[in-house]
Amino acid sequence: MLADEAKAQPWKADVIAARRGNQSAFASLVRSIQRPIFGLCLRLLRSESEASEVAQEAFLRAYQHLNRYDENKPFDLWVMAIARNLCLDLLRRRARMKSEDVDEMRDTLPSSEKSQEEGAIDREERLSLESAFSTLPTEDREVLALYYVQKRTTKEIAEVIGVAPGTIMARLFRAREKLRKQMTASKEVS
Amino acid sequence: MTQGCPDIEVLLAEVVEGSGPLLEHARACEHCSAILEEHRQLEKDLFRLADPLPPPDFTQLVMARVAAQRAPMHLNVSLGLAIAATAFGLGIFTLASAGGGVSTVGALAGSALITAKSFWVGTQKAVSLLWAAEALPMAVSLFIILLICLFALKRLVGDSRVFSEARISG
Repeated sequence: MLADEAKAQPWKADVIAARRGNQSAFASLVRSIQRPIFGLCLRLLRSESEASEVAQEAFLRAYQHLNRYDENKPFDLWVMAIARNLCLDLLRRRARMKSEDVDEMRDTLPSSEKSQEEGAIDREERLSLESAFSTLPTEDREVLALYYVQKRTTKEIAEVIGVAPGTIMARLFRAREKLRKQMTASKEVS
Repeated sequence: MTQGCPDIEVLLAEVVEGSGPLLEHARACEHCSAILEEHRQLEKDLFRLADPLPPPDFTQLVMARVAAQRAPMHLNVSLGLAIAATAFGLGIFTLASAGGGVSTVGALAGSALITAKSFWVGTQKAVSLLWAAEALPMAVSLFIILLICLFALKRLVGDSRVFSEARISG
């Protein structure tokens, strides 16, 4: 019974220990979900240094507010929602400053993914896909990243984004169609 | 899109459902079939993407920031309650063991209650006399004390605005 619960909610014991001030338990939580959190931040912000900074901040806020977290809900989704909102805040500030550098991501993502994807998908194809991906609006990038890259369900995505689950598929279709058009346009140019 | 071809997003929704008039159209339409095939290929490629690895020192950086923080608020409250409960228990134990039983504790508690009541009545009289004589300086002093308390409370609770801005659910 307890083993089943631990399997279903692997974060629960660490969350409870972290709440009691056990920092190594919190470090274990960070290690277990840092990749998807950083990944989403990078896809939204398109800057490795900013993504790292914002992901760190998300974890820090999660630690500061652990007492408000309901441990029956997935811990990664909770931190993901915090990270996403921090990213959106930063993007809004960026938009005001008009200092966005859309090219940085193109150099960043492929180099970080070599080990996972080399051999699975052709490097050039992947580059052009990442390049087209990075030109999409934020709301399209986030649903595509969560659904395809992180393999989240529409229900989980809805929880992170804070919308009705029924709207996610429509958003996905729209985003994917934009991506297809972008890919087609890039192929025609090249 | 050719004349009579459906909106691609509506068609994609029908693809998920598995049947429908638009899907029937797409099977017979070269243009729609080609688009659906591109979407299938795109989905395959997208599913092959993976999250990049965070910087190697990411966990250490997070934990350094965590270590620099004060302990979470609920820990302070729990600790305070634990200290108060222990002190109370020790006090009762000391009184009971030193003075000869529960009756002594009761007598001491009664005596303390009477003393506290006298102190309260005396304080009330003193305040009313002081208010009658020096109302303005007293009001200013109370206002300053209130400000200090509010400032201390704000320091203790921390910046809650940051959290609400993040719209954290759960």
